[in-house]
Amino acid sequence: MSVADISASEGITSSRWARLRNGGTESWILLGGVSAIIVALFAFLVLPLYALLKKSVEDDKGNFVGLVNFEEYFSSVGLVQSITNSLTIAVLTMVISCTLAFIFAYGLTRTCMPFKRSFRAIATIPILAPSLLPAISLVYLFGNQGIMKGLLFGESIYGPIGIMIAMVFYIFPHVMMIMVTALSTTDARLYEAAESLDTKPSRVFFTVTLPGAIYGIVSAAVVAFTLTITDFGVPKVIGGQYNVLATDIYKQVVGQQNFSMGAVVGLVLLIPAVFSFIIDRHVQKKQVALLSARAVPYHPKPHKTRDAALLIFCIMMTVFLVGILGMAAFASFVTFWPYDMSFTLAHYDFDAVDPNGWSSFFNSLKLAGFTAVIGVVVIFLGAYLVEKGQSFPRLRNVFHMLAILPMAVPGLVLGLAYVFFFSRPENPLSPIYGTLAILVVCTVVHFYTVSHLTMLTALKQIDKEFESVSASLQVPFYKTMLKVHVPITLPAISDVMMYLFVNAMTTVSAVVFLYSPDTKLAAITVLNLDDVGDTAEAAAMAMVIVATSVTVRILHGLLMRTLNARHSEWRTR
Amino acid sequence: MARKPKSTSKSKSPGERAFLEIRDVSKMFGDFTALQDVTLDIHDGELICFLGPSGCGKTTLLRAIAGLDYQTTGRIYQKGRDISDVPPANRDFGIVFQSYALFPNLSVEKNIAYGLVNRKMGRSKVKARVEELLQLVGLEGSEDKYPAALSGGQQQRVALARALATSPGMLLLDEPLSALDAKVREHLRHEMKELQRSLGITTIMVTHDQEEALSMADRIVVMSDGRIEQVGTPMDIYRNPTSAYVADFIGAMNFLHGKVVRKGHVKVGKMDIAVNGAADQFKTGDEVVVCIRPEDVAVRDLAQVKINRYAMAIRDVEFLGSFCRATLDVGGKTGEELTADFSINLMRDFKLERGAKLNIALPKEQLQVFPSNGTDIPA
Repeated sequence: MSVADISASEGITSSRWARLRNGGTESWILLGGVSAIIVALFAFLVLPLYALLKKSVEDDKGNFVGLVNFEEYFSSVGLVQSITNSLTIAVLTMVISCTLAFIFAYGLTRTCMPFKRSFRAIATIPILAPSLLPAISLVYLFGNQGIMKGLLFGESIYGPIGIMIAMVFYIFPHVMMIMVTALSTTDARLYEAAESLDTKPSRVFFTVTLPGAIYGIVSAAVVAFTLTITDFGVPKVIGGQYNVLATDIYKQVVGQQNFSMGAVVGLVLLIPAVFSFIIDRHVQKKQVALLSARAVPYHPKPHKTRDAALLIFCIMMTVFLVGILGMAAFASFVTFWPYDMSFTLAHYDFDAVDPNGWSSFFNSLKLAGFTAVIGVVVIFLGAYLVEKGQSFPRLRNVFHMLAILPMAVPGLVLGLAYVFFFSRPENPLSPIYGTLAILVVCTVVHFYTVSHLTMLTALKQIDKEFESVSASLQVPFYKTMLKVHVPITLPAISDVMMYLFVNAMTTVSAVVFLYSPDTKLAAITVLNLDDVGDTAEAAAMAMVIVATSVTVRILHGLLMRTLNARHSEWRTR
Repeated sequence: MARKPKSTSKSKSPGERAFLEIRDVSKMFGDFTALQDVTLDIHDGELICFLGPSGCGKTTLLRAIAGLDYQTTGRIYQKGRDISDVPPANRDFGIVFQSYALFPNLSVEKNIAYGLVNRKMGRSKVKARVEELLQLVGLEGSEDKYPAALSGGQQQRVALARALATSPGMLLLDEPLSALDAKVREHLRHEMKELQRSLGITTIMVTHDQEEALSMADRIVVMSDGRIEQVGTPMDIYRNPTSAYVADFIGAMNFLHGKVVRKGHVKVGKMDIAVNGAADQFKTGDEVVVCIRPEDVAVRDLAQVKINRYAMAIRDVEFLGSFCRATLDVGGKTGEELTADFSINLMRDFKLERGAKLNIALPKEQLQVFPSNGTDIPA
């Protein structure tokens, strides 16, 4: 570097300071906002994960022991068996759910069968239920007293079969929605070209349809794999003696109080999650370029056999989904399945069977409400700073990377990390341990990434010159944000709030280590009730959660309709 | 381009200084140089156009003047005040973007009043100012409409009214007309120029459309690759381009590749072209290009013409409405062509059609000569 270069770079640095000084309040607010949100993500994500990592190389008394815990883990046949079990379940569930969801989505997007909207609406219902619900239903259907037990030919539902069926139910909407998107974004002209060249339908399918949807399919497969391997509710209820990684963490920590071993299993669980996260990010980037702006949307033409076949398939799939949900609902209303089928509301008297009873439901409502409101404010501001901030590009980039990170961290791992980090009395943040606050923070962080990306997409569609115009008119950026960006992105804001609310209602994995007797949640109560054998009450509580989520979703729909009507003057699309 | 000597403007008294002084401004995006040592004075009340192809740095320069993207090095002075490190909010300008950037959820009135409301102006005063501005841009009575309900041209006017609302000292226009239909564009071009002249506001307009620049600007700054190629009045730029690049970029131009055979004479194919004194800088044997605009190729009254008179065949004729563009065969092995614009009238009088032969002259005073080593000279 020559002397001239050095003096030039000094000039640039001094300019930077001059610009920051001259920028006045606005610059400082921007800098403060980005810094605050980075600090928060460090405190509530990075440092807890570091605490988990540290715990895995310590003994019970907190002494550094190197890789001893890992050696112990890998020498235990039982624990290593769980890795194989988890992978088997995840791969099989992935294949089954992706196949079913692909056919289902194909029916919704590429045929002229009737009732498409209803099929789609019904297929998203599982999102509104905790993952414990399908497991409980399966117990009723195929358990020791199950009416359809004979269909299993002597196999037990408690084990891999049960886990897989319940998982397919639970992850179906996630996978189906990705498949629908993948199959919707196609160029009709490719099909017209194939047709004009007199191509066989099967060849069209393998040369046009599949390649066009391949990124979506990979993405769906990755999501299916991750959700299955990290879910805790399903194997807990119906896994029986079949151990998987998720239940191992719980057993080590809650059952045996072996925190170091819990940390080791958590890290093992983190590996496939991070791996699928990387694949997904990679695929998402490629997806963008696939569809040109000039593509012509595809409109299917009627085809009797195809339409009929897919209609039958979709009906069967719907029967499966509704059947599982209906079984839980039914069981919660009958006196004693399957012997006394008389109607009763007794199972909804939670105060009679659980010390927390209905209060856990109100805790869940509080958690979901706070998570939705606090979460959406933080997520909006964060996404706004990333997308619209005019200075500090490096800081904004750091924040964006941190915001993507939670997607790679399974809920159980995050919850466990929180235990290690916040339970230590020397941590200044330890007072929130055991309160509702830590549950809110943990839930917001757990579901941060999807919300952040949704918000970011909405903000990206807003003219990037608004900030410039605002500056030229000497209006501070935060005023324009409130007056212009918030109203325009209201649909996305509402989407994010609903997503956070529903997930806070149904989640078990992250909060299972963090609740205290005062802050016990509805989904946890389902777990406990099922544990002690009050299965009907567990089903009833799960139904209360579903009913709440459905109500919120209907309210959301109504709100969107009113918004659209009121803003029809300026909301053109 | 040679580096210009450092400006000494700081020593000048404020009275002598230009409205806006741009001194050695450079902008780097990583390794890419978007602007390189740009130095330019912009005078009070003029409409100046930054003209060039996409990627030439014209928008980057505009954004540096606005403070929206700071320059990497160099200084900018507005009315003698150093604004190089001043954020846009503390500068004095109004801006109109190509997308107009109208707030879709605010009515026309609220859009225009956006900057006024923040100045703690009384409500009735704001209303009066908005009315005045709407009248100025010819949109009376549109206060309560939303941008989505307006045509492109109307949106453009609202954006202009919003930019002018706070009576800024300088107006910046970033491709303000390029999102509009040809008809509307021509109409607005005229209107905006009138408005600018009557307000007397210093205006900088960025455009890639040479017609727009030629018809509106008091001065044009032709840019390429982050550097200024030429600054001058539209007529000056069109008639006396200082480089083959400018000659090619503005208007249509013939480029005849040849060699200097003796002082003041260039051989192109079989033609010996007498060029004016402008070619004195070249030595015998130098490779050069001789330039002439298609409309300057003479056909009438050739009787007295002694020099640069040639017989050529019409290879092709392209009908372009008010005139025809003919491709003439220069002759020789190179197969070089000369395009000439002939009026319909002339076509009729001389019975010109494909294959016809005619005499043409290349008037010496209309010829320009540039070295042919430049990479941007069309073959």
